[in-house]
Amino acid sequence: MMEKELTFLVVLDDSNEIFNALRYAARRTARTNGRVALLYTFETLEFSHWKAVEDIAEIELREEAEAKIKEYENYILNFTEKKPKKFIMKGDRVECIIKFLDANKFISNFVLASSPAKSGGDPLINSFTIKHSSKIKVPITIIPPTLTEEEIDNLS
Amino acid sequence: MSFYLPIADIQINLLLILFFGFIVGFMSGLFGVGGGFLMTPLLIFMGIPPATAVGTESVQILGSSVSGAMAHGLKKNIDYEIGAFLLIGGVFGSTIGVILFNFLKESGNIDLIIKFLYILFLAIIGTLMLVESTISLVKEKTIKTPSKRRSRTILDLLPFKLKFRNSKIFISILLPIFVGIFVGLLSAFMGVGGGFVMVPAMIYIFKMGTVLAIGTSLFQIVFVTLNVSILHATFNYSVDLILAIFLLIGGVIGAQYGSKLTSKFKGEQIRILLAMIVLVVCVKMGIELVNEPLNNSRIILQNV
Repeated sequence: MMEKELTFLVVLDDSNEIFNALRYAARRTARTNGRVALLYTFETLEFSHWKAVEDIAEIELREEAEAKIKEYENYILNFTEKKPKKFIMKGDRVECIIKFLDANKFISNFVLASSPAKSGGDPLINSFTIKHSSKIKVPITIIPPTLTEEEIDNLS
Repeated sequence: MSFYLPIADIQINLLLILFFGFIVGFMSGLFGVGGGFLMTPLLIFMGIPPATAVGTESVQILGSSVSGAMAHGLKKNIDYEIGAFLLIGGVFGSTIGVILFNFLKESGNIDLIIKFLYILFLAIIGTLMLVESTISLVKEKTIKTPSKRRSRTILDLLPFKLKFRNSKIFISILLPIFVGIFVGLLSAFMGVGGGFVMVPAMIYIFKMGTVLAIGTSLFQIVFVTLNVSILHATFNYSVDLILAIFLLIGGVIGAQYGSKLTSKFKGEQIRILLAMIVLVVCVKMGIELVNEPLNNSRIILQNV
């Protein structure tokens, strides 16, 4: 039986910890001959007076999204030769992720990075480990902020 | 629960004011607009003197834009350099505006002028919005490149050019100052924030990014409406704080419900609805203007 290519999903944000998740996902997929999937979500800007303003805002936000995702792709390519699959979605982050995982069954693992001691915890981790845990069908890997780069490499 | 408002000089039901505040807050939450240009006419329709409606509404705009400006500030969506020049113009324009306002109030023309300005502005804005949203509804999702790409215009020839690093633009400081003056005048005369004029100006004339434009406009609105509120209160005695507080309470509650409902509608439907409300308010204001003599006689009776 041919082995299925394992795909590790990382949902991008502006945090420093996101690089932990990216590093883990890249190392892990390099070892298992899998692939990284990057998802970038952005929220539209509302300016109800004028449609034209909203249209320009969406074009700008999409351009920004493409530039950002490219940046993270380059980081991934430090560790693996396989180009990551890139996805950009518009809307609420949590809702986008639920929809994305539902539509893309090839995702085999969802990698999140937690940040150091934030009161109330990380919103994404909270929502997918508690509130929306019954809505997704992939295992979740959480990378704690205590790990150094070498430790992440050893564990992946 | 009837209550006498000393500044507005009118006996009014405070529950009714809470309700109006709620309705306008609901609409501004639903439509994502400031709501000044809906609230001031509504107050005028309630029988509040136009001058008091304008002065009071500027307090409400101040109250409701502070949280928005702070949120944008935290997200670093404010260009303080551009904001400073907009503010210089805004403070200047609104101060001149209030002085003019006072002059016209003394001569007894201010109520007429406020109503006239509202009819003019609501007609222009309502029509533009209706045309814009109808076109995009008919065309339905045509992906077009924005027409804001650089082309040299006569505006590039203006002196005192400055590089604004945050917004990545190189423009004459006269532009934000002039836009600020215009918006300041609007704010003084109409009790609005003026974001509906300022934001398009910043995007199309300054070529700023939309996110920074909206954040920076809110920053300017906070300080200009603060200036307008203080000046209206001290020079024109036209700020009714009790009225403003009740409007704010109703508005804050209304906005919560309104913004929850936004996602249920398509952007186009919301915009057409808003355009129609604006036009209805415009027509009603026109009727008010024609009925002016009747209102005057009522006020005279009260003063006796």
